[in-house]
Amino acid sequence: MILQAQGAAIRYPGAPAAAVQDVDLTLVPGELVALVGPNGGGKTSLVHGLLGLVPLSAGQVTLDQRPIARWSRRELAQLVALVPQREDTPFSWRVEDMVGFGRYAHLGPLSAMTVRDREAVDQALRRCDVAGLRRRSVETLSGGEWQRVRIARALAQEPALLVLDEPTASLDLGHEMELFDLVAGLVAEGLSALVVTHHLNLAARYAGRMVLIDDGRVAAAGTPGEVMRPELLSAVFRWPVEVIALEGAAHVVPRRRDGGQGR
Amino acid sequence: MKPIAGLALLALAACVLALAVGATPVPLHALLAALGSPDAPSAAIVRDIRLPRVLLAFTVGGCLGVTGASLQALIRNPLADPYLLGISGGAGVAAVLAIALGLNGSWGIPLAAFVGGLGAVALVYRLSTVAGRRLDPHVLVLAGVVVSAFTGAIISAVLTLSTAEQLRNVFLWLLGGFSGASWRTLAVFSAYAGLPLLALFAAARSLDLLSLGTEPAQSLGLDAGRSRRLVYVAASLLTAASVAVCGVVGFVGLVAPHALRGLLGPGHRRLLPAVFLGSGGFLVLADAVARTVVRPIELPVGVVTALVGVPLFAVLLRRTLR
Repeated sequence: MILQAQGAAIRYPGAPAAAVQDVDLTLVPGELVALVGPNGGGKTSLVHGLLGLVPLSAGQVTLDQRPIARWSRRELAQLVALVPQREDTPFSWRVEDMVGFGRYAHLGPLSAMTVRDREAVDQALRRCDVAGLRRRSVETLSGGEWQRVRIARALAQEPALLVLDEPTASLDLGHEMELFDLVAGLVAEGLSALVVTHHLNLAARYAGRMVLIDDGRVAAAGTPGEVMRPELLSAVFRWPVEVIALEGAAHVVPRRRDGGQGR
Repeated sequence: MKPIAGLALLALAACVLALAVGATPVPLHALLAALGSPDAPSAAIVRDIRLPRVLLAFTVGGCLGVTGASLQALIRNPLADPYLLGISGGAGVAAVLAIALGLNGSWGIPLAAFVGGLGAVALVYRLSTVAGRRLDPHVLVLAGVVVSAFTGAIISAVLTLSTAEQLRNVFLWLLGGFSGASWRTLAVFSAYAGLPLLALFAAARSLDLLSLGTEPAQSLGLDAGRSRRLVYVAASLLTAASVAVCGVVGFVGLVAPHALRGLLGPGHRRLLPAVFLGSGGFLVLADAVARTVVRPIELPVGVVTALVGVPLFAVLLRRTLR
């Protein structure tokens, strides 16, 4: 599985400027790539473009050298799974139904789930530590449980690439760490992951590669050490920051706006 | 016993009851005799009048129920029904025009209702995708309400301009009812409704995914745009066929889907067949009440379904907003 963007641009109808412009990006198997950058910088748009959910206005995105638009949704879902930023449903689905939807792309239109499908669901439930919740209704889950259920649904797709759009947006520190640990574990088992996140420090700790998106363009890309540079981050986030080393990883710390005089 | 078997028995019981009651009550043994032989004493009333009426009410009810349940998944709102989305209004206005213009006949009015229903769908669809934006379920409901208001205005205009004779026909039809039911109307309705009904049953899994929203549905492997169009067209065809044979009967698409979702869960592969049986039975009973409760006057069946449906709608609204 190789997902590649070359000069990709996205411009929404009626919008004055492009949401994404001139993006080159390559995702290869077995790596965790973090997509970071300011709010409204085009991260989610880029993800949608990479997955063929919005059309490109220029450039191209290919999955295994075939243009993304030429993949059917069904074929794509067997290789790439997305955990969207947020979602809700008006109905009281059980956890096992929700995770079972991950098998949709593997089923015939009228055929029931096979033993193989059920195994994939069971495995995904166990891997995300939500097997004990399988009979619960999704509306009774806590924020952390709900995120793990949605990741389990993505795993039930048995994808090669897992895309997570701000998976820890509403989680507290402990659940956030658990979630990144889970994703890092999955990558160690051979999955590729693209994680959109606002947590620069967690991104730097867990990701092999970081891509910093600002104003629709790639402002920097490379190892965490290459991206976590104070002058670069200060300019992109429009706030003075310091980068320090902690447990062998770069950590960003915001400073006072007046340049750190006083406290 | 499986819930679906229980429902089938209840629906059958509702049909038997509806066959027995009426201006001339037919006891069970006479009913069975009449169904068994065309020469039995009550054969004419049971076979020629009540049986087609009961079967028509059952199939129309089932189709309206399945339509309601499908639209609820489509626009991700348990309050959705064909009326809210303007489909019935469009079908109604075209049928009213056809009646007022004297275009009668069992094939003409359904055809007019189809054209009107699809026209309303196209208008609602167009309104909710203005400026090239993707279909937004909330805007869709709003557009449906706007189109309903528009068709309501046209119907008022037609009623105002009609002669007394036309007025009576249009008005009776607008209230809804099965008094005109015959084997022929049953055949016409089935011919129109069969294919779209099967299409919705076959789309059960797509409906599950559509209820999650576009982004999850697409990433799970569904071509959401195509599925939505298919469901919307099938739902409009079923609504138009129903409006054509029995006029505007509301709330049938709301009652059974709500009750059965609580009982069987939201999965559409189990839900839709159950909703067909449940809504069919519901409309059969509503029709039986409509023609017996103030005998010899027959109430419009839409009055009965509204009396049950409106309080339920209020309860549902409270629950949805909480």
